[in-house]
Amino acid sequence: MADSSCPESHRINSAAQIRLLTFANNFQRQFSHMYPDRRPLLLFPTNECGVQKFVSTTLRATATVQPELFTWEGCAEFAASFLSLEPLDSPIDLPSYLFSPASVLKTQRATCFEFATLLCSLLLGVNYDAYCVSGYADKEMCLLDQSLQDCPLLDTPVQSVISEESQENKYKEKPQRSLKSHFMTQEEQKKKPSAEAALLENLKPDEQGEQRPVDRLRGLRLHCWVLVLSGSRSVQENFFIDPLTGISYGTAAAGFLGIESVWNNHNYYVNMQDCRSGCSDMVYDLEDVNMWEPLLFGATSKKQLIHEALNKNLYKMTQDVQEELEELEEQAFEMPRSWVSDVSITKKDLETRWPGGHKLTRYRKAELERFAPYLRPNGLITRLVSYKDLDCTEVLLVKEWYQHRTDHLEEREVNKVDNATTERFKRGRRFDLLFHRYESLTTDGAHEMKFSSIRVDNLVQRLVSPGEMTETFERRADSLYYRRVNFGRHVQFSEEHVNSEPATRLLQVVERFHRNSSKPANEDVAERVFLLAQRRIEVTYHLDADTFIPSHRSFIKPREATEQKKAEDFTQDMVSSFMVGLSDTPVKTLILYEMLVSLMKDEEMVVHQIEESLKEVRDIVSCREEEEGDIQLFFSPWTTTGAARARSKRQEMERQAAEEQSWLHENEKDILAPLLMRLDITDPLSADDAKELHQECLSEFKQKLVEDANLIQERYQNETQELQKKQQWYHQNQLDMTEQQEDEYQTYCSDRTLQIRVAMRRLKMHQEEAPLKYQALDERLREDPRLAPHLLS
Amino acid sequence: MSWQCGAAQPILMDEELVQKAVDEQTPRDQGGRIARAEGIHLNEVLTIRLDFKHILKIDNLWDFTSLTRLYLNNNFIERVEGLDHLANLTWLNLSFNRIERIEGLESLRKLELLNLSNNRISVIENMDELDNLSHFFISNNLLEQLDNVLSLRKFKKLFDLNLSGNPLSKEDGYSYFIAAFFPNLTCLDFRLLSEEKKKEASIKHYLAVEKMRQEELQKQQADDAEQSRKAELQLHTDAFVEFLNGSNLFKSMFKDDPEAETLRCVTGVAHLLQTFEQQMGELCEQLFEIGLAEHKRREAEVNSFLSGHTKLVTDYQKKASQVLAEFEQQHQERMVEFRQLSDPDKLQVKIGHCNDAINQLSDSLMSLELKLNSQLEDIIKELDINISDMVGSFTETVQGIFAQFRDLEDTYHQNVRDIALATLEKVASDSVGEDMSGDVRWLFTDKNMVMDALATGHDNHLLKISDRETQCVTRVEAWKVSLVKGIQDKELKRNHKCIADTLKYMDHLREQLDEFQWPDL
Repeated sequence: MADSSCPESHRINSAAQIRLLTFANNFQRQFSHMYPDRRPLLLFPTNECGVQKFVSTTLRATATVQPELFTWEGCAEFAASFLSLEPLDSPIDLPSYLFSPASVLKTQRATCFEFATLLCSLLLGVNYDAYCVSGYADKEMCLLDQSLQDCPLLDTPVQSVISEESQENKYKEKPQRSLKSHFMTQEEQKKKPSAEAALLENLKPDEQGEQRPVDRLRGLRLHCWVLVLSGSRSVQENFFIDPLTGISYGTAAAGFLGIESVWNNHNYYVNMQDCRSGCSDMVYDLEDVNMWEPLLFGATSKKQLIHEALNKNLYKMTQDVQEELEELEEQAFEMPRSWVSDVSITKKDLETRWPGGHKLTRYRKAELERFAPYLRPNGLITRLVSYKDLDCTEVLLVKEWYQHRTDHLEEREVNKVDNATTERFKRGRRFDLLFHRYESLTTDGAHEMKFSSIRVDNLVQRLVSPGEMTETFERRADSLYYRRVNFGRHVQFSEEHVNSEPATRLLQVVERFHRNSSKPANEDVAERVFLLAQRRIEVTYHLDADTFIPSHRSFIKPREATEQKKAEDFTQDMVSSFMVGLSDTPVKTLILYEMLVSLMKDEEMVVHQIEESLKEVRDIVSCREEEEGDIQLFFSPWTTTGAARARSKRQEMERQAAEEQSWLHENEKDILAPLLMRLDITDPLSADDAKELHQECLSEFKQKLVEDANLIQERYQNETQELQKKQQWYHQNQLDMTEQQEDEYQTYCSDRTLQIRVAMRRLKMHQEEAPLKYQALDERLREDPRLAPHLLS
Repeated sequence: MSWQCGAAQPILMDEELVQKAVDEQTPRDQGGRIARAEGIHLNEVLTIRLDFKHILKIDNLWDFTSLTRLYLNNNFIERVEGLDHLANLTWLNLSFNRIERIEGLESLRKLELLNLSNNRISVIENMDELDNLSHFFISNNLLEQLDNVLSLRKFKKLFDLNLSGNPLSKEDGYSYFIAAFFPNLTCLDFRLLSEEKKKEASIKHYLAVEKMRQEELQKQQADDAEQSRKAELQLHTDAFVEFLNGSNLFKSMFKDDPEAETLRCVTGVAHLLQTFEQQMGELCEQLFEIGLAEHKRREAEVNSFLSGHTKLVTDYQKKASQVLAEFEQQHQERMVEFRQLSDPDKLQVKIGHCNDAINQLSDSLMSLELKLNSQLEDIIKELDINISDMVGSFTETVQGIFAQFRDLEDTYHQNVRDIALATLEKVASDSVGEDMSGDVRWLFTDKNMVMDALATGHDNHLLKISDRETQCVTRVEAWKVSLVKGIQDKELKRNHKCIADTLKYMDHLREQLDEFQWPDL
């Protein structure tokens, strides 16, 4: 066990510690003498270097800089998730060793005692009045077996229904007296109990399956947990924290069966209370020596410290008196400083959390897997699999949570029973999609989509199934809130159909509108039904305040003009209307016609919108497919993974840039290279060689320039000749040419002239630039390090 | 301007001309054909163009009651007249005419655009009624006074103004002046007014604009105060306790009572009068408070009734809609079936079934309506009882307080009588001091006269009190009766209408069915 890398304090006991150990030894002997039937206490187990250390000194109050660890919830969650449990060698015997929190953090493996020590150290560091408790607990808690508990993530939040009617209106419908036989009700009552019994019987087998065999070691199993007392950090009531799960319990919780002793970094207290009936009746007044036997008498307790801090200001005046009093008091032995080296928790530890960044927990009928962010390439952080049966064989539901995904997916739920997948997204993604439920990610399946309210068309929800599409809107200016589309049978949402003839596919469109109180009810449309297949349009108006029957109009669309027939005229017979109200003036044909025209226009628009909607559905599905195929994550630079990634990315970029630079540098043209090779001159150059080289180089360049000029000249001449030829041909054949030929000729001529002009321009430019280029080369040669010394003259 | 100096003769705007214009603007498509076949009614025409017609006088427009746009530009019109029936007009173009005065626009309250460009107008006037005016064009006229334009400030919706080509627009800083005094304007002389220009202008004319704004603000505040005062009085009247706060009642009692003034000078009476007034005032205040509180309670009661009423009706409407929807679905299916059936016997049987279904629907709707009606009558009765209770208790309170008024008056009268008698004796024995004025002394020489005056005053006061009491009580009673009556009438009407509609719908359905029965007819 001895490890030379351990700091000195780990390997050697200081004088005070040795004194303390003798105290403890003495205490233990007296204790076992006076209470022979009590089990031994955990006082000075050996540490990782094989040295005996008193348990209180193993606690080291550690303040961290991580804001997550400023509360007990954060600390408990960290301790529970960062370490993995190593069961005690024997579940009923005290361990002989207790490693320091520092080494535990390194190995990430710990017994329950080390768990509690680490958590207690963290809590003391952030000023909680925390104690390690050595005691007894039930099997499930000791072995971190949560398979009897329901997964906390599973329970769906029950939406509390707040009754809208704050006050009962006395003007309401009087219930009608219902005539009912007393005899019948009695008979009903008689039947009920038997039904209930049957129900109970049905329930029983399930429960029986969950019953575990009775634990033989119940009440003997050792456990260590943390007690937080009220008084500091606005803690109102004492509570326990199970360090293995990080869950807090009330001090009367059933799982804790007894307490032997508690300790913090100041003192060690042995429980003197009877805990045969669990910990529910325990009193945690540690100052009371009848209930708690302290190991060190007169040592400072946390309570005193709190008290002192509170009274400091009050007693400033009488400070001198107090000091005198203190001096009078017998100097008690104080607990020596902790021997544990610094407990340091890095941001990376907090992010990676679980050993290896991954942890699996079994709950009742459920498994919960957690991953550190960025561990999985698809951004998965939590996966919950819930099963139908207790043995976890039949999967019921797979729920996955994601983070940092570029497609804003946050939650996916796959229901294995009805095979439906539900995805939830963060706001701000493409199409403003918030919710997507589907059976298969294909266009011809059923889809349910919900959208955020910022869409231009105010669409909130869209349900697509084969043969039907329903859209729901909210707060639209035209008060449309519902649109249902029925498609012809055997038509699928595939590309060809949509593009070919959408109108034939649509059977009917139903649109519903809210009441617009600025219009009379008789003119305010409540529902429009476009029966496209039957060439009919039905309009139902809103109900008036008084009536039961809404006004209604039904239009038959006149036939459009075809090649054989002229368009059908609109007549009164094409409208059948039922209007409520007593006034019987018939509506004029013109007004009806205008209504029909506007309805037909609307129909066209609606059909167009439906096409757009269908297209959007296809787009969304294909977009989702694409995104699922290539999952990207956002890397926030404020996380260690993100930062590391950003750094490596930057380094990679720098490396590439440097590489490119050097490559460019290498490949810079050495104008002398070909000549050097041809003349077979080796370094270093002589003065004559240099001069010759210089001359050679220049003359070659001159040659090249001249050649270029000639080439351009030649091209120019060619073009001119061709044009002339063509012109001659044109003059000869001008009279018997078709218009098309003439056009061709014209374009040909303009093309040619353009080319000629370009060639001329190029020639001119070349002539202008040639001397400059020549001069530039000369200068460059003169600056060349190989030639320069010889050409100075 | 060839249409003016051409050979064309000015013509009269007769019926034929108008009719022709209407006819010309009817489109040639199917809609137009239908319109022509049905006949065009002048009171349904929305727009009419009568430009370039050499019209001299606006006439024959009284039939166009729903007209919204009228084009009379490029004519020879000299007077704006004959527009009184065009209450719906929003758009009036009178440009390029010979108008010299703005007039005859009083009934055009909905007017939004007014174009008077290229006329001979020198003053902006007679436009007070055009509250909705948003576009006003009066370019190329003879406007000279910039201050005259300021009268347009009261058109809160005005945002497009054209004044170019007038003598005033040639003045220096004209556009800045307009921009400063019309901050809501977006367009001036067909140009967008930039924010910078507006800012500059407002700085330039800051003082003047501010002064004007202050004046307007004060006026506005005065108006508001007046409005709120009226609203308060209305509230008091609704609570039947108007003018009962303060000593109005007391004052009205002593208003026409010359003797009281004389008597006041007698020692002791003034003090009595003062106590009387104070006591009256306290009681009045009490009554007033009670009145307002009662009014609030009544209002709350009526509101709760109304909401209950609405809820009940909507519930039943929902039920009826359900019944109707079910029926309609079946009916549709049946109709489709009918169309496919060819066997006349089978058709007959089916039609019989359909008739049964219609009857059933009618029955269920009628029974729903019956139930609703009885429910509504129940709650109306309940309201009647509750409101009657409230009114009854209010009346009792009022009567109690008025009885106290009477008691006060009696005590006062008694006291004054005693004092008067004592004074009479004093005067008779001539033992009064010199402090009594001649008038009073003269009055107290005749005992009968004094007593008569006192008695009349007393009677008068009692009468006033009783009058006010009766007024209050009868009005509250009348209010109650009219409220309940109104609600009952409404319910009756609703019931009738609902039944009538149901019957009408049944007839409609049966008619449809008949078409199948005798398709040949």
